[in-house]
Order: sequence, then structure tokens, then C-alpha cells
Amino acid sequence: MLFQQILNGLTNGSLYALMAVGVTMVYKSLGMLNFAHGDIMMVGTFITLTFVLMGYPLYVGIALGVISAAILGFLLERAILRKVKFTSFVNLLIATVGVSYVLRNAAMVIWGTSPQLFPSMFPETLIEIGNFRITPQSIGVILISLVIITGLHFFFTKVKIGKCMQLANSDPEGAAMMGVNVTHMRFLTFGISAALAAIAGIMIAPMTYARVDMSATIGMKAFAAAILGGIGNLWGALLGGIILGIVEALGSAYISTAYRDAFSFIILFIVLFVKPTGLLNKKIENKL
Amino acid sequence: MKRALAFAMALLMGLAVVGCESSDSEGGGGTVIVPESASGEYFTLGLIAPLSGSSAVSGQILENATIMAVNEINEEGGINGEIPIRLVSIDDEAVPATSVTAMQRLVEQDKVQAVIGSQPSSCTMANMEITEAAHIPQITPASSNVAITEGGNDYIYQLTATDELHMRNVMQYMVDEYGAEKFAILYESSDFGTGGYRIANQICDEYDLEMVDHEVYNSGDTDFSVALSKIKNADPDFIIFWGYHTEVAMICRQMIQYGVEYPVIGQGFNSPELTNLGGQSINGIMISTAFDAANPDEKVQEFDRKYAELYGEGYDQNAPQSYDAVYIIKDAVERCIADGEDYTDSDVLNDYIGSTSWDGVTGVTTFDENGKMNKDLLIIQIEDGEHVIVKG
Repeated sequence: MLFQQILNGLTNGSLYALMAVGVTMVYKSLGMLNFAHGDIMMVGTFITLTFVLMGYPLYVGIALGVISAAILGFLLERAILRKVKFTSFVNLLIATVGVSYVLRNAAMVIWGTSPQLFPSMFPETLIEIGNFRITPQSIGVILISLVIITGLHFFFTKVKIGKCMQLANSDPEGAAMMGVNVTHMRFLTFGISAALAAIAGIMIAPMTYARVDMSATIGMKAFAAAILGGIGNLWGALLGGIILGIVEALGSAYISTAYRDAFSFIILFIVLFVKPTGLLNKKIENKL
Repeated sequence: MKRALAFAMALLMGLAVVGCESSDSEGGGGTVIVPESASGEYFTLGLIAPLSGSSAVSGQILENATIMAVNEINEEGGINGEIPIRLVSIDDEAVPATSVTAMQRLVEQDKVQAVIGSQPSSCTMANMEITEAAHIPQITPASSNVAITEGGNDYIYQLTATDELHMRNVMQYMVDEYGAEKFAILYESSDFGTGGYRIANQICDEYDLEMVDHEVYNSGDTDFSVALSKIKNADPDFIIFWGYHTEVAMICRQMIQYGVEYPVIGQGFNSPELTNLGGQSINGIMISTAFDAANPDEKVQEFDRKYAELYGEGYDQNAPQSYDAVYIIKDAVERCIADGEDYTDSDVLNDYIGSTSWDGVTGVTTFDENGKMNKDLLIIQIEDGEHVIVKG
């Protein structure tokens, strides 16, 4: 059971990580949490489902869903956040909370409130190794998440536009002086973050169904994972997500399933108590 | 930056506890049926149900079925062919406080002679004190909380199966048909689910059943591997599920994944959505219920056809139960008249309702001394998405 649970933890954890990466990117660029992140994930998932139900092949649906989510991310930045950006961070937060509610309620009207089956991009047959049963879905989710996060790492450290984004996020004034268009970079950050959320949603939905309220718990876990690992840190998000996933799985296996969601937040409190900046962050950056 | 983060965390926690309900409008009267009466005599029936608010869909179904039964009776000239039913329906918004005010209006202003309702147990428990004080018989066709009929209120009747009745049905069936000796229960951490677990724990000895494992999950959980592998290790003869269709469909899928193969039976998840979400994986699952439209019984088919014609497909068991409630009141009044008793004396009518033995669309209904329904419940099994009655 231990191995099985660690595998389950890794699967969920890598999804939390994928969501947390998006949270962390936005945090770095605007210095705030995007409360609409989970709902962008949900909308991307449902758009994919809609295309699949219209008869498009799953991969086309996924591509269109991810692109739509990215556009939604762009719109969120362009139409709403850019307008309130220079007032105060509280306004920014409230704006994203508002967007979250609007998205969720609109989704209820469009897609209804009952959960819907979501096709999996992996085969259903189990891989059996001795006593262990592994679903191809689990393996797929873990691999895809790892590949995406590693890819992002190279994008931010090796590719020019990625480096510009990184620079614009960590030092907007400096970047602007170097000729980087900070506004464009921020715009791009939101798009990529939203696309990542949609990918996570598309991988979660076959296991949990596509549901309008799917953002509630997963969105929270994403914040928790990002903060746990050290917010603003890409590898921190990965580490935080995986720790949460495994703690949750082992906690529910050996203590009680009823407190499953509580374990993640308990571990978050413990870590923040011992290391307030999160696991991988060295110091609190204070720009004030 | 630190402040921003602290603020964000606070907001995050705030969001987690944000409730989902709000309702503003004040409770008001709903439909009123005022029939023509040749004799000038009426029987005034009150209906109290959540016609708006969070339980509006369920309340609407309840009202539809009641109106359907009242219209049927009035078309025949009324109770005993001579006393048409005047129906006053009122909205309680699924809010206990509103439900008390609404009930006061029914009793004091509309002078109802019997009441059907309400749907949420919390509302029924609040408003039944008004009918008790006024000595007016009240039948709830939907509230299943056992406390309703355990409080010594002589005027309340529960025309819906309590969870205990369902659990007994489940255990009896598994002992009789499967020769089961040990079971595991998997239930939701809600009042409904934990209530089921508590009852199972209390009564399993009566059926010589041993509870070898009990596992709980939260509404919205998606990974049941832990619970399933523990159940598998306990090796029961069957598993009882006490929860709702979304999770149950997912559990059934994961049972196949993890190779957990035991008969599954339970209650709470009888919904058309179960088949949509579960697909092939829910094949063979058994459900305890008081009513199923697959029942070939003529009365059931007639009800199903008529309801669908008037209000469209899609109703729950509260519909046939409300429909039967109207007929039970009609039957009690008719028996009163046949015995030469005065049915307008509410205590007399109450005694006659208490001695009901009505064969309606939900089978034969009788009440015990507390007003709790006694009924032989059904067990249905799902085979290729279709309901098959395995015990009727």
C-alpha cells in the first residue's frame, strides 16, 4: 500500500505543482495571487470538453482548450488587471476574486452544475507490476508535468524571451531600461500561466470529472503548494506540489481519509512556522 | 510584499468558508386551487414546500405531484365524490424560520384541515410544532430525519423511508439472497452518511452481520484508493455505500481499477446521473428505494406516464410520495364518513390517518404508533444502465 500511495501522491502532487507554477509566475510578475487561476483551469477544461463533444478529436479539443485558456489569461490581464494595477494590490486581489466568481457563475449557466465525464488521453488498461496497479493516467500525468516544468525552466534560463520575462518580473524598472517591454512580458506571463492551468485541468478531469466547482480545492492546493515551496520559485512550486500530494496520500492512508484536505494545510503551517519564506526561497524580497 | 502575502492568505481562508446560500424574498402563498363545490363543502389542504431558494427544484416536484393528485380527486367530484379539495400551497424557501411563519399562516389564516410538507427535515422539524399545537395532522412526504417522528408529536406522519428502514432492507436482502455474514461500509462524512454508518453499526447484530471495515470520505473527494485497498484487505461479503451519485460513480470506476470485486448495495445515489457518470462500472450495483419507475406495477406506470405528460420527465421519489399523501388523507376522510364520524374534528381525522393502510403508487403504506412509515421497500439493480427490480 505504501508504494501505491506514494504513486497516488506523486500523481496528485504533480498536478498541484503544475497549477502552482502558474500561481508562482503571476505572483512574481504582479506580486499577488491570482484567485481566478483555478477557474481559468475549469473554463479551459470545459472548453476542451465542449469541442470533444462536438466531435473534434481529443487532441484538437485539448489544443483549442489550452489556447482558449491562454486567451482568457491575456484578456484578464489586458482588460481588468492592467486597469487596476497602479491603484493598490488589494484592488488587484479583489479584481481576481471577482473574475473568479464571474467565471464560475458563467460556467454554471453554460455547462450546468452536474459533473460530466471527461475523456482521458491515456489508455484505461492497468499496468500491473507484482501487486501494484498503476494507471497509465498516473504515469502520463507525472511525466507530462515534469516535462512541462523542466521545459519552463529552460525557457526562463536559456531562451531570450523567457529571460526577458524573468527580468521583467524580478526588476521591472531595470528591464524597461534595458529595452524590455515589461507590459508585454506581463501579458505573456498571464497567457502561459493560464495555459498551464488548462493543461492541469485537462489531466485532472478524467479522474475527477469536469465540474464547475473543480477549482475550489485544487485552486487552494495550488496556492498552498506555491507558498510551501517558496512563492515565486519554479522548483519550489514543483517541490511544494509533490510534498502536498504525498503528505495527503500518506496521511489519509495511515491516519484518516476524512482529514485528507486538512493534512496539506497542516504541513503548510508547519513549514511556514519553521521557514516563513517557504522551502526554497532564501529571503523575503522586499521592494518597498 | 510580506503584507501582500499575509493579506492573500487571509483572503484565501475567507474564501474557503464562504457560504453558498442567500435568499431574500419573503415567504408567500403559492398556487391555490379553489374548485366548484355543489354541496358548498370543501376540504382545505395545505401544502408547505420550498418553492424558491436552494431546494426549489425538489419542492416544485413535490407541489406538482400534490396538485396532480388533488386535480384527479376533484375531477371525480372530490373526496367521497362530494367534497372537493381546496389546496393552499405556500413557500417556505427551505428556511426553518420562514417555514414556521408560513405554517402559521396556513393554520390561522387559511384554516387548513391537513398539511402536506415540508421537504427539508429542518423545516419540518420547525413547523410541525405549529400543527401539533393546533391538532392538525401533517404528513411530510420527503423529510427523512428519524427525529421527526421520535419526538412524541402525535400529529406528524413521515411518508418517506427513514435511513433505518433502508438499512434494514439492505441487510435483510443481503443475508437472504447472498447468505452474507460480514460487510464493509463506505459512507460520506455528511449527516446523511454518518447517520447511515451509525445505524448500520447499531442494527447489524440483529442480522448476524459483522462490520469488518468502515471507511469515510468527503463530498468532492476523487481518490478512493486508500479506502478501497483497506476494504479489500478486510475481505467483506458485500459493501454498503451510503452517499451520493457523483462520488459513488467514481468509487465504482476505481473499484474496477484496483480489482475490488464485491457486491455493492446502498442508498442515496439513485439518480439518472449515476449511469451517465459511472458507465459500465456501475453495472450490478444495488439500491434500496421506496419507488422506482421501472416497477411494472400498473399504478406506478400510470403515475409515471401522467406525471411525465403534465410536468415532463425527471422527478424524484418525493413525487409519488406526495401523490400518495393526498390519497391517504382522502382515504382517511372517506373512512371517517363511512364510520359516521365527523372528519372536521381534526383529532378524529388524525386517528384515521394513523390507522391508514393505503395501497398507492409507493406500495402499501402504514404508520407505526409514532407516525413513522412502515413499508416493504424495493431493491433495484442496475444492469446495462437499466433499473431492474430484484426485490419488490
